Parts: sequence; structure tokens; C-alpha cells
Amino acid sequence: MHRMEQGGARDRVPGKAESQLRKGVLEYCVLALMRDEPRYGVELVQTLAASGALAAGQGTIYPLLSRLRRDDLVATTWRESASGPPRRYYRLTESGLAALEEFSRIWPAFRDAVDGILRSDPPPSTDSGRNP
Amino acid sequence: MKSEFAQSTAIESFLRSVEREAAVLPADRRGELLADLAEHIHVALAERPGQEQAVLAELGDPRAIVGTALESEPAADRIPDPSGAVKALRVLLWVSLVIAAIAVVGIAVGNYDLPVYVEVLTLLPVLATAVHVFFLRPGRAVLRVTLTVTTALWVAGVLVNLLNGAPGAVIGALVGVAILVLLHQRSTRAWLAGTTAA
Repeated sequence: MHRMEQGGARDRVPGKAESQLRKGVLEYCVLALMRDEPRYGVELVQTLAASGALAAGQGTIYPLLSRLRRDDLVATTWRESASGPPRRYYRLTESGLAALEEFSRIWPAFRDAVDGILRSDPPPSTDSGRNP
Repeated sequence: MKSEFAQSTAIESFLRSVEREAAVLPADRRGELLADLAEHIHVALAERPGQEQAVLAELGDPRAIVGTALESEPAADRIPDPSGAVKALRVLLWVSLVIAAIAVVGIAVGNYDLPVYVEVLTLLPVLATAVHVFFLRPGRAVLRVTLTVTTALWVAGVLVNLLNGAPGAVIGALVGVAILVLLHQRSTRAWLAGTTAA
């Protein structure tokens, strides 16, 4: 994944592998963004867009946020704003935090495993018995 | 989708286009998605006044947004695309609109032998049935009730005509009965109710 693409990511149609990959981890990126403090939708969406983690237009985040609400991984509260309309703030629930911690625990090993395979390190042989 | 904000036509047409694409979503999901997007637009515009086009462009293609919503929707909760029954129903409603138009012309030129009050009484249910074609959308369960009532009245009226010796009315009878049958199909009911057949 290239860091340099951030600015142009919006105008580019990601390939299938890329969009599948991003979809899989996006949910946890969203959860991670609200771990330390509640964030409102536009804030979440723009942080994600700037990070290059989004697979498609910013609007595609909202179905995800809606599912996270339904699954009780996040909770929301409305807050008045000094400027403009009230904003809906998202924060992690206990199960949201648990899901994020689980992902964070699995991710480094997963990332290393994929890196290892991509570098074509010979995998530990498991079928040596069948070799002549 | 009314709010205290003066919505520009660009915003309205964006939200309408999402709403159209989201017709396959259950009503509550559709409402939620539209409310979330409307909130996003209003908040983003409060932070970046005047950048409406940019805000809408960044949100992306309505079809892609709804596509994402469908992915996170268990297959069992999706509203199926209009089934063959729904499409056939729509065609028959257009046919009944044509029948109604012909009848109006017929009455106007005094083409029928029946008393005018009978003609008008038998025509009204046909008209009421036919105009449903303009309102047929998923999630409008009430239309199944109103359509059933108007079509049943239509068929009853046609039977009266037949008894009064108007054999041409048999076409209307067939169309009316076909509409009633299609209305009763499981897929039609599910589509109109805005839920799945399950």
C-alpha cells in the first residue's frame, strides 16, 4: 500500500484486491479512531479519507457506522455545536473495545504472515513425508 | 427529508438519488442511511461553507453507497428486486389505464347503451386502480389494500356490465382478475410490504 496516493485516492478506482482488503480492516480502523475520544461522523470520515484507508467514496462509511451501532460496538450521543448543526458523536462500547483489542492482537501476526508469504520465504515444509 | 436547512437542488437531488437506489433496503435502514448522509452534508457544509459540490463529490456515487449498505445487510433482510409478478402487475396497471382512457372516450361520445350512471360507476374503480401505477413503490403496504378494494369493485362492475349484455367487458374482467391474482403473490406482497418473503 503506497502512502503517496492519499491525495489522489478519491479519483482512483481501487482494484478488486485492494478494495476487498480495505473493506476487511476498515471496520477496525473506524473503531480505533474512536478509542481515545468520541468523534463525530464527518471527523471520522475525513480522517479515514486522509489516511487512504477508504476503499470508496466517503458516503460508504455510513452503512458501516450504522451496522456498528446495530451490533452495539459503538454508541452515539448528540452534541450541540458552537457553530452549525448538532453532531452525532460515536464512542466505543465495551464490546466495541473488545472487538478492537482482539483485532489489534491478531493483526501483527497476520501482517507478518502475509509479508512472509509475499517475500516468498520458503514456508516450513509440512509434506516432507511425501517427498522421495 | 425536510430539515431546518435550506437544501440546494444539488443536495436534494443527491439524497433523492440515494433514496431511489436504496429502494431495495428495508425502510428503517433506508431512513437511517438518508439521515446519516443528510447530517454529514449539513455538518460538512457548516465547516466548509460554499463547498457543496466538493462535499457531495467526496461522498461518492449513491449506487456505491447503497451497494455498501447491501453488503452489510444479511441476505434474508433484503427486499428482493421487483419480481416477475411485480413487473407484470405494473404492465397490467398500464393496460388498465389504457382501458380507462378508452372508456372515458367511449362515454364522452355516447358509444355505450348503458345508463350513464352505470358507466361512470363502473369506470371509477378502473381509474382508481390504474392510477396506482404512479405510486407503486416497495414499502407501501397500504397500496395492496387499496388496489385490492378498487380492483374488486372494478371486477364487480364488469360483472354487472356483462349481465347487462356488454360482452366487450370480458376483457376488463380478465385484467381485473389477473391484477387480483398478482396482488396475492407472495413476492408482490413482500415487495409492497418492503420486507422479504420470509
